[in-house]
Amino acid sequence: MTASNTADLFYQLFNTFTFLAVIVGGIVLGLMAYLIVRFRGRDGFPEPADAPTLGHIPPARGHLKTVAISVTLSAIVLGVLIFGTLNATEVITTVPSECRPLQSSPYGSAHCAYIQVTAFRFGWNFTYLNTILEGQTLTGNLTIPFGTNVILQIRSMDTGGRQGVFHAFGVDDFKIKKDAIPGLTNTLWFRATDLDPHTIRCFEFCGIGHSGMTGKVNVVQPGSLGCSSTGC
Amino acid sequence: MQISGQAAKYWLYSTNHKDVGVLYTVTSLLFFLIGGVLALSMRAQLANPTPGILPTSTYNEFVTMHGLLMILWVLSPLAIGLANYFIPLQLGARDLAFPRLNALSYWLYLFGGAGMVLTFFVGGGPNTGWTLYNPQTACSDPLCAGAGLNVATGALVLLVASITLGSVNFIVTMFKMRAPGLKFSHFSMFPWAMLVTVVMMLYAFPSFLAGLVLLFADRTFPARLSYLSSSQSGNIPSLLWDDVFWFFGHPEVYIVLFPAIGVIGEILPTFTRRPLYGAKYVAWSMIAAAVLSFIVWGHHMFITGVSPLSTQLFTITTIGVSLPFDVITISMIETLYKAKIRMKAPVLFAIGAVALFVIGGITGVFLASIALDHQLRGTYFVVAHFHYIMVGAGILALMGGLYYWFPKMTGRMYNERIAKLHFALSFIGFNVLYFPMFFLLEMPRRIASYTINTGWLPLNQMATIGGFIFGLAQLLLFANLGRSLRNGTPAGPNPWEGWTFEWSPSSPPPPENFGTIPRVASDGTVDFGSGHRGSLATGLPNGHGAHPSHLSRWPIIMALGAFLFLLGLTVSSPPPNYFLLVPGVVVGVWGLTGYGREAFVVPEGEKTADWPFAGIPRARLGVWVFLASEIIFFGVLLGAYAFVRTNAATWPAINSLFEISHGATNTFILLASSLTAVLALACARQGSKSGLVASLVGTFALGTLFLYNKAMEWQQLASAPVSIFANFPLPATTYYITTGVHGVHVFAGLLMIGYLIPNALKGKYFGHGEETIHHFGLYWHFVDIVWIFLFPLFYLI
Repeated sequence: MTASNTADLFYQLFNTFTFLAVIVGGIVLGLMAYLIVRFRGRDGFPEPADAPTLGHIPPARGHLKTVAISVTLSAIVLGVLIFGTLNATEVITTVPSECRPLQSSPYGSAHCAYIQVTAFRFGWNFTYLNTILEGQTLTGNLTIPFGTNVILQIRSMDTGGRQGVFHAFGVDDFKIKKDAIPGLTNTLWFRATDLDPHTIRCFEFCGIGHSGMTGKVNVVQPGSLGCSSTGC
Repeated sequence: MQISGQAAKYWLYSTNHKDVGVLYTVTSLLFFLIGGVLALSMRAQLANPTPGILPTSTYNEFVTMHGLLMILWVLSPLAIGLANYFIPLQLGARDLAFPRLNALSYWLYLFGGAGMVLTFFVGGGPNTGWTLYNPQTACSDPLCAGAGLNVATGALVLLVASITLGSVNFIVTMFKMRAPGLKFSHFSMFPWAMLVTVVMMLYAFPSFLAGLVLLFADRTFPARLSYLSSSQSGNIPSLLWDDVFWFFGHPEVYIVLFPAIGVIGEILPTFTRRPLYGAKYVAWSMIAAAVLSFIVWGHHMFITGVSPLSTQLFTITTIGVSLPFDVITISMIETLYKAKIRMKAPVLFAIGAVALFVIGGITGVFLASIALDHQLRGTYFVVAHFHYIMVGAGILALMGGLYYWFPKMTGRMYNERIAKLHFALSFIGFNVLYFPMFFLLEMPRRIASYTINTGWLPLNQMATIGGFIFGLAQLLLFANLGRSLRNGTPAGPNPWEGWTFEWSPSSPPPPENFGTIPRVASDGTVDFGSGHRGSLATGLPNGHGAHPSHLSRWPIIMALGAFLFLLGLTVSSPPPNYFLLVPGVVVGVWGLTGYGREAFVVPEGEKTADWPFAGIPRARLGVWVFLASEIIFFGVLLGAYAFVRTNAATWPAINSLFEISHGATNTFILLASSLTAVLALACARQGSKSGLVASLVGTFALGTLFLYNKAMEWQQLASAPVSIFANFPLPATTYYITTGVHGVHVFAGLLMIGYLIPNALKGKYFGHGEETIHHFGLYWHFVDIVWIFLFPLFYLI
């Protein structure tokens, strides 16, 4: 059981990639090992006919066909891997249609939970744009409803006259992160699928307090935030 | 070798490519030790994170310096050291095209590195990560980057200068100084790899230089020229540094990798006794990857919120760039087929490097997937991936190269058994160090501490054990090579039975490499002439009957001047420090003058292969190549301007801030000066001394007038009652920096004319000498053309 819909997607993909990586890597490295053992310089083994000698430019070796075949095979594997993941990419990078702001309903037709995340050195502020915490700002820990789509709008803050810097907001167990960049607002969304607490970390080096720039995500029953599985 | 005054002077002044190669190699290994100590300190910290041995501030400095030193002062320079030594030999040349420029490259590199290390003692090393991300590097409060970052900026400028000069030198050498009959298709893999590498350097580093100019301006004049961190500029600059940096940064990855591929491509054929499989396709693959490397930088920015369209495009290019590497890897592996592998240390390192490259490459595909990158970005998975490429493939292969060529460089064999032990411990230590990091999927990079309940401790401790195995194993390399310098068995000219030209002369080769220049016949046989094993070649007369020079004091003096100048510009707060700046200028000008006046005879071969630049003098080709890098430099500055301009909410109306009349006058002046520069060349060709001097004086006067007008305009804008800096920060910043950099180029041109005029009065520039006027003309026209772009961009639209 994973912690969110995004974690679910991540593990499906990651496991597929790992599976293929182990197979491809295993074949290639195994072949190398075989060739090394098979063709190690044993005594009495004849020197190859085209062995390089000083004073002669060696003749060309190798066939375009072999190269073309290997490139095509790699291209197919890579293409399948990457383009096969475009669907997951689409899911991860696109806010669900029922959450997209409408003129009549700024939080989408489904009234998804909208929370502004403001990174500062060295912590996070969470401002609730809707739900029963609307208008409140919590510092450090994020409370979200279970099973409801949560949309985070991530920014970086200038504090005390200081220029804000890059941070990256990430939740380990949700397998998702996004940069917090001065002057820009980036969007991240997910749906928590368990009630365990999870850790927030900063993934972009931001200075002396970077190591300790952590927080907690508390997943609560949607009702306690004024939400249900269909909206807030 | 005895360390006497004579020997010291020899090493300080030598311009011989082999000596400079040794200097580069040894220096890069010293920086490798420094970077390694930083790395082991970090590993010790992470094995016991609470409380640990390093304060967080120190850790941050170490993590930044480790990256900068290892990438810029170890990997590339080690490769350049080997290339310095072996590229001329492999081409059948007597030296590089511009030996003194080569020595200058080395000294700039060394002083740059000294500046980097110095930062620890002047306000703390840079502590922002090697990517120097803005706005963290730009802001000037105590929480931001340490004061040492200013000095580091200067040190990086010296490095960029070193690399640019080196690239020009290698490109001209490879195009103009090949042995007769030697075609590019005859090249072994190391010259190919270095050719692609230096071309990439030529185009990637100017982007970094442009970034450094912005960074320097920002940190030095935060109230006025803040491209990157101005609070009035809102969101615009945040991603600018990312783009500028990674446009340099991704090609840089291949810049450090390709020489390693080249070295593997030398070692494999020699020790497997078979020609490299598909050598032609490997070379083409490197070219393809080099081209693609300039359009993949966006994959470093997948989660910055850039548009979905650009992330998709960058995904496709990133997948595309892995295909050439497939060809390279497969060719390396197929070379082993039906071979007779002689299991010596160099081939162990080469094969080990290929194996680790396979792992590093495959894990790179994970990061090309945007969906996976949304989790993996900024974690130890990435750290593991790029260390497999840079250390696993890069460092290991280059060490294989060191063992491979050590007998040629010193005339003595290293100890094979210790070398094999070094390989075994390095390979095992490396994997124990980095493989666990693939499982630290959640651990952020560049953190100095973490809590135990994360569960990361065991893997980190394992990595630390591996790190110390790997680190201590390197002492075997130093001990082995150091001892073998004296005690190794004599190697003879060709201990490995290699086919490339460096194995023909004695070990080490005589100063001018070959008795007679090798000749390649159309059937691929190479004629090394008679006496090629002897030391005959010492002091051979060249084509003009003069003896070639190998010593010059001016490169180190010029580099010292540049170092003091940049140190003076950066070390004090507020800058400048005149106690360093003034001596820097004096020493620099002294060096430059001495350099210009010295009668230095470049060791040359006879007729060389010079396709496709037959008929173009070597120095002119050098100027062309240099100007190509300048195009990128100005291109990126103008790109930054365009980026700011297109993203700015408002911009002052045409002719309101920058008056068209000012710009138009200066355009007219500069165009006229191009005309006088053309006249100067025509007069030099016709032998008219008075005409030449008059044209040069005219050009000088027009250039001075241009700068005077410019200065008036700057002054007028800066002192306007409505402050341009407060009210129009972005137009002001882009304008002052871009026209300022152009102005510095005009000023440099004036210095050149200042040097040309006295010599023209002595009648130097007729016959052969007119070429010098031609070089100046090329530069001057280039600077004028840049203005032709600046004028409309700033004044008319």
